[in-house]
Amino acid sequence: MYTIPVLLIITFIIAAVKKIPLYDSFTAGIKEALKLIIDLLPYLMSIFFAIELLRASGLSVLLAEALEVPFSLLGIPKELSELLILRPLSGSGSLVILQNIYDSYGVDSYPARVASVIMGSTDTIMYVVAVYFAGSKNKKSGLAIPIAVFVSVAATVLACLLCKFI
Amino acid sequence: MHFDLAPQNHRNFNIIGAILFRLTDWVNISCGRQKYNYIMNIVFGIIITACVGYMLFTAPQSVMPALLSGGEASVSFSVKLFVIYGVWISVMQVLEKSGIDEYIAKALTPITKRLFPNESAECHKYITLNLSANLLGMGGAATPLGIKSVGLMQSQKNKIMLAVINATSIQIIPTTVLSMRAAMGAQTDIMLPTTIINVFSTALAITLVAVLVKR
Repeated sequence: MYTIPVLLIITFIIAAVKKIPLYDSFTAGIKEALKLIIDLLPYLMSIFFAIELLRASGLSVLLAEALEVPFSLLGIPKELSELLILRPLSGSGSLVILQNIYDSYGVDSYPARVASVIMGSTDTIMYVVAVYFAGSKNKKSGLAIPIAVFVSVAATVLACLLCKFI
Repeated sequence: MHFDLAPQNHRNFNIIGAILFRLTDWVNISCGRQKYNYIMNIVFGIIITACVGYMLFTAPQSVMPALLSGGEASVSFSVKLFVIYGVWISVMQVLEKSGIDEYIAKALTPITKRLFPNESAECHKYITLNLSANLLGMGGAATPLGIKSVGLMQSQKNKIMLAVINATSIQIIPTTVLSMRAAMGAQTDIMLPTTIINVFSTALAITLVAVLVKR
């Protein structure tokens, strides 16, 4: 609860000490954000299309049911199935699912809290590895993806466990 | 956080053939930016084809309403995200001008010297800047720095180390998630579990790369 205001006040103090103009920084920052969102909107809308179709067709229920057994073995709530599928692939897409989880189950519910922790502690593996190795002469990424996937699954399982206590 | 703003590729392909071919292709061969787009094309292609195909028999009248409500939701969601990014990119602008990322980069140098042995000083400069940008959550700034450092690296093991550390997230404060939660009036805190999991996953990632990757 205090994280955001504390972070903001630290930034404003740094700005005062280093004599960085705050108004200029905010207008420039918002201009950047506007550019980012215009770039992001086509991706967001495509993901929303796919998710809304999954919901309307009822296939998301089937998907969650199909994943229920392996997920319950790992202690992962089945509400997270869509998020876990999309998280390694798409940053904007998984934000969409996160918002859906907040809307459906409430932001303080167990699935929503686990989803928040997963969003904050994992990243878009496929994108990062693909892009980082694209600039390298030797494009073989070797064990990078298997290791990153294994670590993310372990982090997810631990997050499910941890959120029961904290 | 990294955003998947890969350039559109204009190659059209037959979906089912491409699914089988590309999946095996992707598993066997390395993964480039183009391949990333293939993966998203496959996943997206399967989902929308399966859904519309299924709804053709179950609820054909609901296809267009679903697309419309999804599209409308994406616009209101991007307005929300725009405001969240407006705040945090502005904060990042201040932090960037204050030189805090270079300060953190300097503090990280002893660690990166051990994690990425036998690389040039120039390469280390980019590695530390990449990691500090990522710690602060400046994904947009981190990605080009990461690409640059991988390009300068000699050792394959070091490349995998940097990619895995970045791919398992090292952001200290998940500003977007916290803001989305605050907007919904969240009463519970997720910072503590997020930090614990982050430390755990980064440590596990470094250990696994150190142990499993040869050379």
